Amino acid sequence: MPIGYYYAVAAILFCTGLTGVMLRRNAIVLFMCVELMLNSVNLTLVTAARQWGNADGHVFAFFVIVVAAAEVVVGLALIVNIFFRRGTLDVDAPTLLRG
Amino acid sequence: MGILTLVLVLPLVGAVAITLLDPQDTRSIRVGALVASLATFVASLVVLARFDTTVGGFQLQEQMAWIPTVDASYHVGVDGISLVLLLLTTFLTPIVLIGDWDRADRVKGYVTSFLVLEAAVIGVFLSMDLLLFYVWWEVMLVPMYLIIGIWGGDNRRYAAVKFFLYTLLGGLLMLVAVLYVFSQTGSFSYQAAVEHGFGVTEQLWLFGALLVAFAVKVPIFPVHTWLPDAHTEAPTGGSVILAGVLLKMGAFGFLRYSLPIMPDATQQYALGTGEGFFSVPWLLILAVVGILYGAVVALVQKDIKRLVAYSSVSHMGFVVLGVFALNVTATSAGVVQMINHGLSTGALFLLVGFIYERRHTRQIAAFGGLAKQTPIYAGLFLVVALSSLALPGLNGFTGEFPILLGTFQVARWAGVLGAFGAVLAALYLLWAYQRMFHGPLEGADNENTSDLRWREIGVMVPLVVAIVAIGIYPKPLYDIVEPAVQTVLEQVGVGQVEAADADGIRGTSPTTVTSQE
Amino acid sequence: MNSLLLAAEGGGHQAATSVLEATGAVGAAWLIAALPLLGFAILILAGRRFGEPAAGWIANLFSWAAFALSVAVLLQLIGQPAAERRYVVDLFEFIAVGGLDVSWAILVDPLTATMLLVVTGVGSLVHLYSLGYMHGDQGFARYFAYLNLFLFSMLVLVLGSSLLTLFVGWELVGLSSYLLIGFWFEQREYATAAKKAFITNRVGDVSFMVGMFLVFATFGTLDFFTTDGHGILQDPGSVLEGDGATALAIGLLLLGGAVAKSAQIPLYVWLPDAMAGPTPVSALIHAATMVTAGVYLIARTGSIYVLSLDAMTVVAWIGAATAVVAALIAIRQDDIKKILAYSTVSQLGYMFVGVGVGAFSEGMFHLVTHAFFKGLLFLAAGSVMHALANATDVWRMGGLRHHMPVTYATSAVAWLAISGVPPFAGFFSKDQILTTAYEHGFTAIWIVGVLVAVLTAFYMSRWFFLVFLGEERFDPKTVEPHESPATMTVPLLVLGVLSATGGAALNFTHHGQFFLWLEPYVADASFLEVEGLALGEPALIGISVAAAAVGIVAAAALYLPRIRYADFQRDPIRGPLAELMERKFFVDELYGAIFVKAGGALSSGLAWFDRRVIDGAVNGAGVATTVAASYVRRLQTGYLRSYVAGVVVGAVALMAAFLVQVR
Repeated sequence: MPIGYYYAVAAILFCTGLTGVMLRRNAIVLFMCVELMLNSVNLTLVTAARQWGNADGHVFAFFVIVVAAAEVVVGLALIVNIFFRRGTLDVDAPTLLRG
Repeated sequence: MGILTLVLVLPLVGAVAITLLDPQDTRSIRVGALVASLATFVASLVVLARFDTTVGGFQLQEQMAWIPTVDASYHVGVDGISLVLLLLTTFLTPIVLIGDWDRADRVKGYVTSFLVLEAAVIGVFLSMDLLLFYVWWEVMLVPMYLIIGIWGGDNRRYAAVKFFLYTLLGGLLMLVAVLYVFSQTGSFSYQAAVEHGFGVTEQLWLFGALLVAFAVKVPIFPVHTWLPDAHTEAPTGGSVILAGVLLKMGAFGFLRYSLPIMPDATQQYALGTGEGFFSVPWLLILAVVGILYGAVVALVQKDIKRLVAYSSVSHMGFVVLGVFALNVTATSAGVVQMINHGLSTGALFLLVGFIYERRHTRQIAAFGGLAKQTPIYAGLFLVVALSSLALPGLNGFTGEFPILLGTFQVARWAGVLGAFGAVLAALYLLWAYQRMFHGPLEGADNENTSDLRWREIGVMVPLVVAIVAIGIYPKPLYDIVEPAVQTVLEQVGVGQVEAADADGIRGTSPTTVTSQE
Repeated sequence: MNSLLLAAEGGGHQAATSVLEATGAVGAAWLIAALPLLGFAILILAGRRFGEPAAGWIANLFSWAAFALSVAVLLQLIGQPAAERRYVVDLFEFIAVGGLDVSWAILVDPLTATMLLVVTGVGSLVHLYSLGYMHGDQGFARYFAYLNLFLFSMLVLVLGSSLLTLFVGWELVGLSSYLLIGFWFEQREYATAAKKAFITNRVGDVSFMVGMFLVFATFGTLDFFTTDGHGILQDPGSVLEGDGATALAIGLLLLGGAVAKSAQIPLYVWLPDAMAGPTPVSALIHAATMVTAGVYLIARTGSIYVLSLDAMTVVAWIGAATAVVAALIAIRQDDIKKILAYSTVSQLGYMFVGVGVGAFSEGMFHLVTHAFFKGLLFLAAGSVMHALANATDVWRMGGLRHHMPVTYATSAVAWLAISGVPPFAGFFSKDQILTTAYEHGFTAIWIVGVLVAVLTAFYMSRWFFLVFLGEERFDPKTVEPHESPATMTVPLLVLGVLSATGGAALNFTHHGQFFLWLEPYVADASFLEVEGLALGEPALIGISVAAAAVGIVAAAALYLPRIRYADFQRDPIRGPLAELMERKFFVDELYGAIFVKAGGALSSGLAWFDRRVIDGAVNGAGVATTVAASYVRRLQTGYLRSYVAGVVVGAVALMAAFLVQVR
């Protein structure tokens, strides 16, 4: 299978995630879209590592997975808290940071 | 642990210990703070005892590695200039704590702030490492900001932010200068910076950057406008420390860093020995303008605290004049004048605070005829005011006179114009005194004003004793300061010109270069 | 304690040929100043505990002790050979930094001793007098504390062995004067007068200080006399080497200080207002001692003045002009003390003429006799005010000779003395100044001096006639004139005797013992003597006496017939000039317009500048930041997707730029 396919799949995943982040308002969905983007990056990294015969990409991918796992913990906690406080998961509702 | 580190750490230990106390137990908190500050004072007296006044240079040095990769170290030391300022700081802090003894709101935070402030100021005076100096310099900002912003008057937020921004701006330029010095010498060591020998253009830029930082602090006209606001809004203790100690940091910075590290730039900025822009003695001009301007503006102030604040602008002008006359007499006297100003203006702010506690106003027009009702207060106020207007026999004169005399030898116009500051000082102080204390005792408020209590008299006594003692016998002070100033001026390269004694000058032109004693 | 004996200038200019331990009274001369200081310290801290009259007696004790010690110093000096009467006693170091090196040291020589006696003598008499005068005053103890403080300050001034220590005393007398003028500070005008005195003197002090700077720049020291002969008064000519400009500059700068302290044109305006103080204070400070400090300063530094004839001429003319102007104003004043105040200004003008024309010892002589008779006049005025419930308007007096015989008789002596009638004290000193002025070639000054002598005799006669002679013009129902108690009359009598005989006893002929006593210790101005003058000394004396006679006769003709009427309450001298004199030539108004109004406007203007322009710029920077932020902040919409969109756009742009660069 040509290596370009892997990149193509990664790009599609990334764009899907990005579109989701930009268009959806539900925080959980948003969160999943971010995960999608992260994993597309992971795919890119291991693909490139394989292509160039260099282990750095794999290492990076592991890093991303670990960080993403940590992020999930914090992120989900935040989302749960926001839900309890505001009763909604609409990310447009909290606008305290509007200038 | 060396004695200098002890002096530096004692107030911090006190501050930490106080945070462990119950906030409601204000008595223990006050006593604890007082004990810590008195212990610091005693420790600084030990420094004085161990100090050898016969030599210039730094003594009692202590050095420990701090960030070895950038050659920054915990390096402290004391010379004559920093010694007297150290003593002033440790002397004033307990006085402030006793003076504000009755303050009721958030005592814990208040006294802790003062102890941290004391440590930071001491750190500034003792540091012999540029990075260490910079850190203390900025640390000092935080407690002072809190003191003004939390315990200040009605307009405290504005004053606190103004104070903070002004100083921060100067601090940032100082950081740039410090980093540049580091990039050139590869070390934050003070000694390395002094010995590096920067080019003239480099010096001019560095001096300019530090000038902003130090000029704000002094303050030099025209960057003085934070001072009246900060003073007016700060609580009494804050004003005393601000005027007594913090303002000295600017002039100290000039003497410790600007002069030895940038000798050529110093001469160009101060005496106008350069070309073009630098052919004008800018700093002497600004000093004289500050003296006269501060005094004239003080004349029309309606708020007594604001009046004293503007008088500080005028008096610190004398200090700047002395420092940048680059003459052993004037520069040493400039250092002595820092002490004198700290004592007399500190005392004035305390006195203003006493009356404010009684009357909750500082408007001069609200008072009148108080000399009859409160003779002790009036008497003390007069003594301190006379010291501030440089009456011979009191301390102000022993600083101002040699400053002007020394300056006159360097720049006659500056000595003459500066002397007019003495007339103006008499004018605004005696006028204010007359309006507050003379005339008939009118109005129920004035008739019910009580005279000073024993605690308040007790706070004033050490100050008045110091004021009189330095006025009659300033020699010990000069003995400590002069060798250090001599060293600094030699680094600038003008030391030998001014040391001319009577025999050297006699019969020849006063500017003749003669050998030192 | 270091002390040394310095040779007189008369013995050539090899000063300090020998260093001798100052013994006896001279060695203890510092006590003369220290004793009143101790008195001050005791009274200011615990005066109220002592109360009346103990506080007053304590002050008297210290004052009289100082006087006794001064007499001992005088006697010791007299016992020395004429050329060995100068001592410098080092106490301890004052300021020593860089080239500046000043000690607390005292200088004892005949000039000092003369001043010591005047200050402690008149001072002690005034202390005694005040016991009666201040009786019952609420601030009794405070008054005596201040009086002792003044004595200390004046003694520091007199004993100071360098310009700087002299200056310390100079300023401290200003402070004591401030405290005593404003003694009754509840009265607004009194407090204002006190402040005016202090500030006016400060203006002069700036000149004095700059003078010191220049002296230091020129001589490298501020000491009058030093062991190595480099004091500023030990042969200043060799340092200046004919540099008349520097001598002139120093002379004029010191003169600037002197005109303020001694109330000369243009800074005399504070002295008449200073009469707000208690009358004994006016006698001591504002007539006999402090105001003569300027004369003392010039006499002390005379050896610099003689290097510049221009400086001396300026001194003389300022003195002459002041003498005339003040005498003219005195003619039309109505306040018993104000007349004396302007008279003091005028007489100080005489002393300035004296030291200006090179008559240093004659000027000092007039200083001494003036201390006698003017101190007496003020004390007499105080006695009168005491008797008339503090009335001061001479038009409400008259006929007091019956009620107060001692005050009347002693005042008569003082009146004749100041008018220059022989053989009273003022005649000798005044005449000797005029004679020297003439002999030193200052003919115009001499003419002015004679004119002032006429005016002086006139206005003092007017004062005397209106107060003591003629019909009683006060309201006998409200006041009951009575002679003052003994504490007040004894000083009057002592000063009366001195005013009557002091002149003749001290210096009967022009070059009498007082002259010989001072001459070796003041500058030598004999080079000014002019040969072949038209008038000899007898003729000059005749003219002086005639001037006094003219003034007294004119006043007698004008006032004696009129004061027989109880309703005589308007001055017969009228016209525009009289009006001008009564309004004091509008000088106060002029100064008020220039300094108070213009200065106030400048001050308010600068305060506005500070608030609006300088601080305005600072706050303006803050406002500008805020305004800018109010626009920029709109970028923060609070919507997550707009931030994400920003990130995407930025990322795409970066990538595009990257790609373009790679190409």
